[in-house]
Amino acid sequence: MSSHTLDPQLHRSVILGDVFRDTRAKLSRNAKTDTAVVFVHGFNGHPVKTWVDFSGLVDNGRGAAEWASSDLFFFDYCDVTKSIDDSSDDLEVFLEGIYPKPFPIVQLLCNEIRGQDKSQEVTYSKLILVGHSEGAIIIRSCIAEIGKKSQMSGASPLTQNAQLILFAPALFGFMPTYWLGLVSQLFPFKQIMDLLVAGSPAAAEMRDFITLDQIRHETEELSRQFPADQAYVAHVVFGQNEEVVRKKRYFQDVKYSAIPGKNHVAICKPDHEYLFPLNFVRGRE
Amino acid sequence: MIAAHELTECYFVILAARGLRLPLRFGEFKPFFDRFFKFVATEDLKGDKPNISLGLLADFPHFIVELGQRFTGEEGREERLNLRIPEAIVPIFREIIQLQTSMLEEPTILTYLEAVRTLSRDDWQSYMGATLGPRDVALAADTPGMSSAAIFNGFLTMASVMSRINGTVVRTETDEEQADSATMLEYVRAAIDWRLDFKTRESMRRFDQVKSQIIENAASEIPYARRGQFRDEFDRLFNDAFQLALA
Repeated sequence: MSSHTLDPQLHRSVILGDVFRDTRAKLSRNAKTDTAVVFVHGFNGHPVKTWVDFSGLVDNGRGAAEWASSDLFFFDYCDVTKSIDDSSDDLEVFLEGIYPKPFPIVQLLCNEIRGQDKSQEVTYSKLILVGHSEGAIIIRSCIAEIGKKSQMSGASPLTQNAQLILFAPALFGFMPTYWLGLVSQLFPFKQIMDLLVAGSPAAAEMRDFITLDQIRHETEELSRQFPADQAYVAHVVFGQNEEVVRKKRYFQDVKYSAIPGKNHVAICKPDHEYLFPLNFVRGRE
Repeated sequence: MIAAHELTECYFVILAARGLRLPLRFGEFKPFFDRFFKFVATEDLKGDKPNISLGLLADFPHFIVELGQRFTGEEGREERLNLRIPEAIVPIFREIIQLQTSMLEEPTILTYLEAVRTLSRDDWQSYMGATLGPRDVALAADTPGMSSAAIFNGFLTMASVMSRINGTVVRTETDEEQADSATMLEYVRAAIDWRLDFKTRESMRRFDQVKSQIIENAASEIPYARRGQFRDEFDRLFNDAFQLALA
């Protein structure tokens, strides 16, 4: 993995190239940093531009004080060419590499930026996963996968206390173009209906929704079995002008009032007059 | 008044848990009620949301206190249920409570109910006559206020939640648990089925009209040869969701 540093502020930017495509990070200079915040962009999005201007505002001291003790990671994945399943696997590998102990190269950079001894162990005690649109599905699929594996092995998942913050998540898919799509977003249609509608143009749309339904089902099942694990409960917000994805949450999720004047793209982009995203990710605790 | 129904329903469902002597703590449910209260108390919904009354907003804190006292108190007016392994029902009951609370949060369900009960026949027909696409119906989610799309969205959302409440029963492992959960479900459904008010022929007719329109729209999207079978299966799915045993 190659890396290099960019700017000198409260956080310093680094590029974690090669292994994780265009994944970037903003590492805090604060020696008491205990939190990793991982941002996952949506379909056809960009690891950093999707979240403009989170990092700039954080460096200017805007938002909650907790940002000073947070390292920010902007995860990149093949949103256009890879399946949800594959991207979820990529995220899982990435999370294993940074939480609770980051890769040696990241640890080295953290220590350098914080003016600490090179060999000092860096450990995060909190993990916050922030998703936009399809990125939210990748996060939920990944968390469900980790949960299922842990269930089989009998060990507690490392991500069990991760906080999930989702902006305009596509958990129930994009706006349907067919009635069958609409109904299958709500109903566990599955086999019998799949057979009946096979060959129709609506079938492909239905199958996409059924994949999403599977992730929902797995997550809700895990939430039911492990109600104390907060990783299965997401904090979800939409804009009032949302017109791209269905405004729905899993039943255990925490619902927040829709943000006036914000659409699918703008909901996760803070600026000097719209600081809600900063305080939604950090500052609710 | 719908708000009163909602409170009554919460009350009965939770009293059912008391009756079962389940090891449920009020604290486990409070976050869900707090969520609901926070939702209905949202400033921009006040006055714009016809089915959430100011009375509910004012009464909700008292309701929560009352509920808490009943949960911790010795006296209860709850009905007893005779279950063999009540502790096995706890996760199912918790899920039912979550689903039931989520239903209270859906403004379009309230819109559908309001439309079925209170609209004049002419107004109802004008809403049913509107040309709608699936996108319109999807966009109506979370939207308070009467519209054709919201009525259809409310119907589908309610069918979905009812179906999932029914689905909580099938996950049990033993015959005894299965029988217990079916009894529990019957009890809970008795408390929440006020939404399916078929006391009048008109409300039944309106329910059927929305259902048929959705089935027809969906059937038009599949090959002609399979439409007949599709309609029958789809109709059965809806009836199963609402637990309607039709002659």
